[in-house]
Amino acid sequence: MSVCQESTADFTELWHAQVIAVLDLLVKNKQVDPEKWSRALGAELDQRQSDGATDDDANYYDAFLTALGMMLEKSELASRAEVDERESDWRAAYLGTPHGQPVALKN
Amino acid sequence: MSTYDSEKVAKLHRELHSHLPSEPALRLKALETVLVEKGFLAADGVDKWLEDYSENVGPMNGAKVIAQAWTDPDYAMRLEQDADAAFVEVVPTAPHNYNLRAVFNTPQVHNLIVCTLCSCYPLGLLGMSPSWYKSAEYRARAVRDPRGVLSEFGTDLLDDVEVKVWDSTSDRRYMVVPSRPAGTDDWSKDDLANLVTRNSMIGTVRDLSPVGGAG
Repeated sequence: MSVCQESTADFTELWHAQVIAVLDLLVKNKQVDPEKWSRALGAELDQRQSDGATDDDANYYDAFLTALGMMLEKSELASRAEVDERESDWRAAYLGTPHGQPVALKN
Repeated sequence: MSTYDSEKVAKLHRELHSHLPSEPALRLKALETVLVEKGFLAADGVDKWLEDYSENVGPMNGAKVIAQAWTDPDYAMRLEQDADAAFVEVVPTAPHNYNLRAVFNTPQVHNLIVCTLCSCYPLGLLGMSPSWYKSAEYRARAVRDPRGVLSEFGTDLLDDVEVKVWDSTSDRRYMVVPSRPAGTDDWSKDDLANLVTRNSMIGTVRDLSPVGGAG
């Protein structure tokens, strides 16, 4: 594969931009140390490469999200249990909201 | 004979029309919700970031800086000495904490940027890096075989041109300043900026010679 193949779009999916935004904001607010983050992302990418993952954007952003989740749990900013619970809440909200209406969590 | 289960059909209908995000998108939404609830992120933080990114961030910022450097030797010197400060002179909205270093191509030297560890890049200045920059293949081969990588981008260097590969880190980012193409002496800064590409600021492209005229 040639390394120069690329899409011209900055982000192919909205959540790709959003996960970059979350990380960038946490770094700017000094809640995430950029050096620790680089190491964490690098380790996740290396692990995936060893496991034979595809070398593309989809894998990169999945690695990014996984590494971010693990780092935030380790630093006690967001535990896995808390995120699991909110993920379940959002899933229920999406499935329970009629088409065309805004989706929101119930308080 | 098939059975008709109205509840099952209704459930399927809801699922089809609910715009349920993909699994990673849903996971991120949950993560963001937790961070907002705990006060680590503002409720509108991500939306504002995306708005700022779309309006103020991208390769055009670097292109303006390079066009300024091409037309103002004093500015080029300031860019070489303190790239963060020089960047803000031309792009006032730019963040000034990237510890950016501008590396200048010359007839004898070609610069190439990589992040061998992960994907460090001056995102807030130049926008998101291209897909290939983040790939394991580029991260490995840019150091091991830079001329081979450059050749795949159509950049074939003469043997007497030295290639310098700069490895970005979380506290040091780089931007290549390509050489000003010949025949552009009377061009405006806007026209010059239009010649500069994202790849040339990473160093995978060297020659920016215009195909046609300015404007």
